[in-house]
Amino acid sequence: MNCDEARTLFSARADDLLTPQERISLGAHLQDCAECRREWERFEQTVGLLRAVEEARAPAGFARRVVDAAARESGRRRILRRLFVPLRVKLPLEAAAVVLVSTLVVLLVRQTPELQRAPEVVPRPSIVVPAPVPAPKPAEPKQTQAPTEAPSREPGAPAPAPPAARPEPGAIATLESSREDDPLKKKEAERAAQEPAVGRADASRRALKAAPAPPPLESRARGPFHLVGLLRPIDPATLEARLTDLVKLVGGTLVPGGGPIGAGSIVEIALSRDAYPRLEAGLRQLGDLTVETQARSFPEQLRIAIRID
Amino acid sequence: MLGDRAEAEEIAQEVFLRVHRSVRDFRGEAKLSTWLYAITSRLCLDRLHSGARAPHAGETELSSIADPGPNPGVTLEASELEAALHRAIAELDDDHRMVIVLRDLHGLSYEEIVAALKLPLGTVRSRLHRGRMALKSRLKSFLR
Repeated sequence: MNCDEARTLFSARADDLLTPQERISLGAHLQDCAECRREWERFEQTVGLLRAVEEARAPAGFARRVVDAAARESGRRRILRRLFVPLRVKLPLEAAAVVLVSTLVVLLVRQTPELQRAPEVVPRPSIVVPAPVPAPKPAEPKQTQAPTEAPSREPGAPAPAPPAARPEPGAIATLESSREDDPLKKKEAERAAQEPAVGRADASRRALKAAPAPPPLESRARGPFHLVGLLRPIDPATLEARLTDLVKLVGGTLVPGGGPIGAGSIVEIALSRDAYPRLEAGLRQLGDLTVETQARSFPEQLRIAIRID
Repeated sequence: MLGDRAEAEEIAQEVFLRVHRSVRDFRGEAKLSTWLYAITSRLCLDRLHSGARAPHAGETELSSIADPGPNPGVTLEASELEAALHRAIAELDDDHRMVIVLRDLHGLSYEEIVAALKLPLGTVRSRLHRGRMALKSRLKSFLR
């Protein structure tokens, strides 16, 4: 062992961490080397001085200052904790809130019949809504017939539901004929008939307002269909005529669809709730009727869509 | 460690505040004293490396530490040696000083120093040895 090797072991010797072999080797070197022996003595003194240093004492009032600082900090942290709740608390709270709100919604829907029925009403299929085509001629006779036939209905039966409250060429034609003596209104109605669909709606409303005895808008069937059915007619050739007669017979209104009634078409019928059983019986005589969707309860005025197979 | 009593007090207060703040996170995997030393050494090293310190006010503080004894001659000699020792400690590298303080002034084992400073054992050993050798050289005139 040379002097450098011996001196690298000083620290381990001071801490009594030498292996037996190192202890023997270093002891032998120190016995032979006076310089290293002197160095070791100085090293040992240095470590002794370090270990003799008294532990620093906290100054007077230190503990009090620490406690005061901790109290101040606790106050600040309480405020911060209230503002910023940690995630481990926040997440369960939010999850519980979601569950609570969901439960409340379910309970509310279950206990409120109006809300419960709402989703069951069949939304009006877009295919059934006929876009107002400029002056569809076949619709005119049907519309003009509806008011004239009203008196011949059964006494107990309510008034048939007129077509939906949207601009209809038929209604305009009726109004036009009833106001022939008013040239201003006639011109307005004529202009309305030539206007595009959106503009005509306003004109129709103006004409309805000006009409002497317009059917009350409230009596018209509104909203989605209360029943949607599929009819497989026995005799497609006579279906249109027989269906038209049937609807008239039960006091309902056949809403014009803008085309002939046949395979693939959808027939919209407005009628009173009381007249529905007779309509259904009549439809079953015309062919095989399948009720596809039906509202749980019927209002006084029904809207029915029948798809022709 | 810092060579400045006011700074040391400030750090000591911060140590206790940190302990108070996070004592619930202490899982007892190490000794409480080791945890305290770890916090203290980290705060001291952060302070030493921050560069936001007053320029060596420490030496005057260290030199003023004296224990009045009955014999004026002995008292003076002891006072000089103690001042020299503190000065020598203050002049060590921060890393060497930290290991020396933990081992020789506070008596931590090597394993405790390893845990507190999160250093390999070999690094702790070599830093301790170099620090002690440096101190020996600086105190040469006081050693027999």
